[in-house]
Amino acid sequence: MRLSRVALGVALLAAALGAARLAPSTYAANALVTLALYVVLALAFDLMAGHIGAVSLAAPAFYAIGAYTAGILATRYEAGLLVTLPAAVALAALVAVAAGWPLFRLSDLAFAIGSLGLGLIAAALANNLIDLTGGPMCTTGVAPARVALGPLVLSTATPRAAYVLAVLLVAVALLTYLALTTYRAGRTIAMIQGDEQLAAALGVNPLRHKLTLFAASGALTAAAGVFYAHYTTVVCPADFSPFLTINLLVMVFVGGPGTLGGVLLGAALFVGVSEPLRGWAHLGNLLFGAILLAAVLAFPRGVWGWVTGLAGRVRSAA
Amino acid sequence: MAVLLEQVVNGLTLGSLYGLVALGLALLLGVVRFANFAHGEFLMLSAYVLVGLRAGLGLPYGVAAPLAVLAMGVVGFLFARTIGTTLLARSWRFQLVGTLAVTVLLESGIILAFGALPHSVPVALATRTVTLGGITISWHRVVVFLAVAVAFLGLRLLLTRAPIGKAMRALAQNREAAVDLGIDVRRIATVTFVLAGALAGVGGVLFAPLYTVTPTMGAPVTFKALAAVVMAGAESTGAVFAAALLLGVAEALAGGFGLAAYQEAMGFVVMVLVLLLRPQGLAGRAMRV
Amino acid sequence: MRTRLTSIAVLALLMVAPAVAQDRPTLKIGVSTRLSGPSAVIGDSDRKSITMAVDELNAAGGVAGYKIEAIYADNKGVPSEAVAVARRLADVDQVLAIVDSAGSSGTLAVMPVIQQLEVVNLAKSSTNPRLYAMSGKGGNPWAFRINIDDTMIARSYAAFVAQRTKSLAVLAYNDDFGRGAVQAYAPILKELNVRVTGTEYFARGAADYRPLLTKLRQDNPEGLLYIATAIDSAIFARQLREVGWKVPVFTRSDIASPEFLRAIQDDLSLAEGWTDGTLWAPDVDAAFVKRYEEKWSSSAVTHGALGYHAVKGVLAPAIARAAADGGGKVTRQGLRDALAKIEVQTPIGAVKFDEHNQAYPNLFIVQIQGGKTKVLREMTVVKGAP
Repeated sequence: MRLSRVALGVALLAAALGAARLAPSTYAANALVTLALYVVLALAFDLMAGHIGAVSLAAPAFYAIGAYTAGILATRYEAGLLVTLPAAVALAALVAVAAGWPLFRLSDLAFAIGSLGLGLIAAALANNLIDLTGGPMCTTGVAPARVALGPLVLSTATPRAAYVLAVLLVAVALLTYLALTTYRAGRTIAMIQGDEQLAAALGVNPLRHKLTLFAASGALTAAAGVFYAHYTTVVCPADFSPFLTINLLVMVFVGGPGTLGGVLLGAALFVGVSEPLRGWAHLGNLLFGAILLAAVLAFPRGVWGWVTGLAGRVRSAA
Repeated sequence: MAVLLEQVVNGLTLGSLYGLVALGLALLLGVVRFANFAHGEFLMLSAYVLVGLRAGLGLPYGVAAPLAVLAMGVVGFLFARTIGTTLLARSWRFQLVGTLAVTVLLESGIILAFGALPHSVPVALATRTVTLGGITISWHRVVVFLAVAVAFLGLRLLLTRAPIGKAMRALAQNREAAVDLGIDVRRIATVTFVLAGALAGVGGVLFAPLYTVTPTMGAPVTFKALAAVVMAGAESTGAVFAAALLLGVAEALAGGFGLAAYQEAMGFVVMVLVLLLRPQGLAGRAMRV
Repeated sequence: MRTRLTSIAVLALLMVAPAVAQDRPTLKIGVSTRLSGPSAVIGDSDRKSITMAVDELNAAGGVAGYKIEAIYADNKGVPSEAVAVARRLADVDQVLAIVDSAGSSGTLAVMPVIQQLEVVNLAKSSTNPRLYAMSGKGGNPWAFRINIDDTMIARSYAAFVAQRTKSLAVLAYNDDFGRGAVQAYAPILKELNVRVTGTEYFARGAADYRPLLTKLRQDNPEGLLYIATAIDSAIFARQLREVGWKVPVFTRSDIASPEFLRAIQDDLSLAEGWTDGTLWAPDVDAAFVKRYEEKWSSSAVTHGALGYHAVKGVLAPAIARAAADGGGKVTRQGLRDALAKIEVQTPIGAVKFDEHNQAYPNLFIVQIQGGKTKVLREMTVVKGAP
């Protein structure tokens, strides 16, 4: 990668980390952690939706795999982050490949509905395999993550500390996203999207690439789930409802699918709009729905698409 | 044996209601290429119109129900002319998010108007029962079966005999050719929305006395209707309806045989199984979106 | 001259005084409740009941000279939202205490947060038995609970049920409340020689009981135990009738809520003879019911009534005590200490928190007779963890 890009990345990282110090309250720090988690989830979602057009509504399933793997290992075997994270990520990737194999045979809409089913089934299992997950009584007492790297201690015990770890998670997600969607990998995807048969004829294996993306998407989502478990210390089935999927859909498609800027903008807009509306209950929901509808109708390529289009026109006019 | 039969009857009732919604959804997908993830909300709205007409104007069920169905036809029309036109030009993914927004709007709107408390639509026929062939069912269920049969057959007749129905089928089967032949796509689209709305409306007024009317009753129905359409493909009304019935029966049997906790997910389990065994769907022709 | 000056001074003071009095300092109380989602009924009734409580308190001059303000936030019944709500209420809105109506999973999730932020969390509908040991002595000093859970009710209510039936089918919510209740009753029913012929769980708000009823009926139990809430009970009553099964029904479903009777008002015989083991009954709280219906033109629900008493009957006296002990000032710490000390009487029984910050209002055994609720028994319950 070019040096200027690396420098920019490092600068952004430093700024992001610094934001925690500036957060006026633990509520704000918590909101930043939530934003970070959403960014990771949205990136994972966009890997599929924005690049191979596969809208996977199975995020709750992978999030649950991450959260429950961490929760169960932490509460039963006192496992720390260095065990729970790899375990959850591996399991999620496996499930993604196993589920993706039959699902990718379906048309796009059928794939979406099939993945929705996966999410609902996972939620039902979480709620009913009581001996494993505690079901509605939840898995409680998950120890916060604590990783000591020499003098530096990364932990999820408080929102401010957790934010640092969350930023690192975002960095990993970003790198994964960029690695899988630019350069050669990106060209492969473009080829597959353009004409699968041609791509196959040229020696590209579309299914393998799709499964890779699905596994990466699932793994990132599960990593966010692991973080979530260690941060909130409680894992309940209620957190894995289609509610989550809807939030992701909104973030990515209003922000702008297929673009990094779109995903980040979408996540920021979503948190920025929904947090203040939190106190308004039903009226707030109504406003949210109205804003959402207006945004979808007004921005065919997402808000980011509109912004870049505008910037392009300004530049050409200048 | 009687128990099994009772479960199956339960399932068929549920399934036929899902079927009405699934039919409208399939029509929208096949004819208009519109993925309406808010379709279950038409069922919900229809139930609330029913509640409103009864509570506000004191109308009896027999009068309020057809009025509610008419109202849903009008809603379909409005939907087509406003949101529908803009979203039609987009990919189904944007239609998905757009119609989800509509779902949020409608649900919170109804809560603001009617409150979050559930409403019931007590109908005398719902608690008066009749015993047929060893099993006892309420008279209202008989009404449900008859009404659904009439609606389904009416739809089939429309699609096969009426000029507008033939135009709809032409548009579904070969869009380019149909357009070349001068078929007015906009008009057909509007008619399809009205029809889909009315079908969901029938589902809503039939559903309300059997269960309860809540602002969130639409979403689970949308999921199951989607599952039915995915299983069957959007091209055969018979296959879609059969798939919906199958889902309803699976759900009821799950409840009856110890898997009640998985009832909501059961439809999807069935769908996944069907798709694993037959990726091309029940009708033999996969979804073409 | 002096008299004129004096009268001007007095007049000036008189004009200023009301303005000063207007600026009564305000104490804020946060309410984290389920305003949306499948339990939206609870949030709705919480908001109405607590608003009424706060209005009444302020109309009577406030508490210890302070005006009370309630801030409502929607936790949507989702634990992660409950956490965000708790942080917002405590950190941003700077509330004195949080009335927690998030359900057990929400309460469990906010436990570490309220300890970090040092704010009182008063749970009023969280039934997970684990919360007992987690609160107060040896645990989280900021967590308080005024609702009793089924492990505390089990012996009393199970004994009542055992007197009336020898076999029982059970139908319960598939959540912490329903499963927790079944876990509490099963061993005691067994001890009392009541045969449980089958147990089925269903999702809150699920619309169709018929397959489950058909299944449970096969074993011919003499009674049916239904564990849910008032709203689902109405649908259940209709479907039970439709299925044609005449069986004595015992509930843990707040059917004593006026909302339940309103929902079946077209045919009150649907629930004739049903009994309920509940934490509130309109019979002992007629004044509240009347005022609620006049103010809101809608029927009260048990959860709301408990919210009303939590604020007016428990928090208000605690605030007064904290002010008295703190020389007029009320802090979060002061309120916490005051709650631990107070002992008050409410229409639902005496409220005094034990060393695990648990209060023990009464259990009411209620029956629907002739379309009205009738309290058969009012009893205090077993204290402490089983």
